[in-house]
Amino acid sequence: MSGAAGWFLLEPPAGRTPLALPVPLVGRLEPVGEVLEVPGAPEGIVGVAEVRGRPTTLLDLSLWSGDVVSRDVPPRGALLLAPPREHLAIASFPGLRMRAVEPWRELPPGTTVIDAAGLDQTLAGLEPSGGGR
Amino acid sequence: MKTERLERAFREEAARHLQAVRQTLERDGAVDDEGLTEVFRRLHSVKGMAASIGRSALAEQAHRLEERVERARAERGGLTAEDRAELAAGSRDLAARLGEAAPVPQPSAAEDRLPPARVPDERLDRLFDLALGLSTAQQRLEHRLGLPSDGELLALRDGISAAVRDLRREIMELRLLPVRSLLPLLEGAVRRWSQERGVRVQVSLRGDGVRADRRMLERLLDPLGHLLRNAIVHGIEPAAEREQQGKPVVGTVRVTARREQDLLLLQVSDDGRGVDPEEVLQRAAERGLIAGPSPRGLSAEAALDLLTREGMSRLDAADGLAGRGVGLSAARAEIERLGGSLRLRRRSGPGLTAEVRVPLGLAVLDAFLVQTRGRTFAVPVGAVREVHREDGSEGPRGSPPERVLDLAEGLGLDGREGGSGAAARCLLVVETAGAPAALAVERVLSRAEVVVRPLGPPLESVPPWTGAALLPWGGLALVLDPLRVTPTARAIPADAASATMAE
Repeated sequence: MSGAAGWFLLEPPAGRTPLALPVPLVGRLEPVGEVLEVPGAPEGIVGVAEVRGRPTTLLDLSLWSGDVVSRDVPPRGALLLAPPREHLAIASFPGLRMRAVEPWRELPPGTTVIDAAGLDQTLAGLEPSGGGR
Repeated sequence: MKTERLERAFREEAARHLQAVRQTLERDGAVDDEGLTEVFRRLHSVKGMAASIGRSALAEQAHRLEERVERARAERGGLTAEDRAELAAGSRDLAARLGEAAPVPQPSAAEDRLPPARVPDERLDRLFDLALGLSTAQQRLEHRLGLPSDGELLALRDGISAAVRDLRREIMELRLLPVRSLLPLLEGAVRRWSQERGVRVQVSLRGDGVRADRRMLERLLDPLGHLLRNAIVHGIEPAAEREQQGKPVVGTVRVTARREQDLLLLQVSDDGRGVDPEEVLQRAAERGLIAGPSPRGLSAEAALDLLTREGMSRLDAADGLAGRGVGLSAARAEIERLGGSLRLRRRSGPGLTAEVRVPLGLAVLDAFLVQTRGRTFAVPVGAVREVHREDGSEGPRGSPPERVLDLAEGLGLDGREGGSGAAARCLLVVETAGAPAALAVERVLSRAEVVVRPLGPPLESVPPWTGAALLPWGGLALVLDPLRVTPTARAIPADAASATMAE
């Protein structure tokens, strides 16, 4: 999946690594309420929240950016992924900027680009943490 | 979509049968009685497979060919040249139609009716999804409204509740398929394994009237294949060996399907050489799956349970069929992802039984909603034998089991405000591979029928979670399999303290 249709750019605060996803990989942004922590979940999984009547797994941007986002503040939203990954979303924490980038524009330097295969590979490589929180 | 797997398996298997039919009919020389029986059997298989996945037109065509074979045998003692030519042409035509999409039935000239409705699987899934959403909304509205004192309002509430429940059940009913749908799709593989292993096997099914959700059956196809392969590779002996033991030369693998409340119970039993639990323990120690000396207190069933761990194989040499013990562990992993369990049991006679328990459907669960350390979880009622209060103030007669695992400790939960220091704990008694054990929680909030949604990857592979329940009062609760709260809770009794399960 290339950026031929443009990118969806996620820019964490304070100079952390931005992440770009091809637009077709991205669904919509939804608010989230309570987030359930999942004991034993791999690092990088914030938890599970109900979004439009479905349990949705919230992924931490740190899975790709390598920067640990503070867990003291709950996520305010969930950027749902497009089908068939609609049970997944990227957690939106305060300070995270999101915007669409036209395909002909340059992405900011240092941006990590994730396509569908890369996303699936990342998730397939996650190991349960073997303990709760 | 996974329904395509069933269709594809049907097309491949049916094509193979029909090719064999044509080869028999078109070869030189007469078709003897054995050949005639073979032709009939293969057409019968195609008919059965087509019917099981709803391809009624193809089933009917296979039936007509089958009838012609039977009529020729009864009336003429065999096939004429004309019979052979027409049967070969009929088989060729049937094979050509396998790849067609299921046609919309046309009204017959004698009837003036519209064809019956056919609903694609994807639309049925969507309807089901909407029904679940409606169920959840109705539950939550009821919870919010409470019990109205107004008689009319109460009747209205009950009416809506009943209508939603009936709608959900009707749609769930549409998704049900008989368990027997699976076996014809594995017939070819069973034959191949038997030939490669040099054994003779007959596979039969009991309880073919039992039905389950089609999506569940699709996901059971692979695990069932693994279990059948295990029975053939590890269980059934070659004919000469069986004859020496006084067994029938043809080995038997029996698949039994039964319904237990909300669970589908599948048993795959063979009359082969069985398993020596001591041998399993020795092999597990050699492979580093258990550390320390073999635990003498380990039950036979707990020892057999080790066979489902990755890395176990009873064959001395790894060969293509044995797969280095991957098959049973792969079956167990998939079954657990479905919220079920796999156990191996010794039989009263020769052989081994693999017992699979999975939810009949994927969506609605009768569950205990429990709370511990301020968090709510859902525990399937079917997994719990009894509920006691630790101080004996509530619960059935008799003492609770000695093995007690605190849920909060098992999950590694930290304390939460208002969540610790509760009164006597509640003990949920569960069956394990060894002696019964109890899961301790702070309180049992209620028993409720909850809508459960799958977690999907990657969380579906994280034990002990089997899904997320949408709570009647709003929010989610994780659904847990009590047997998988920790690895040790399942297999090792408390008195075998020197042995631990290596990760």
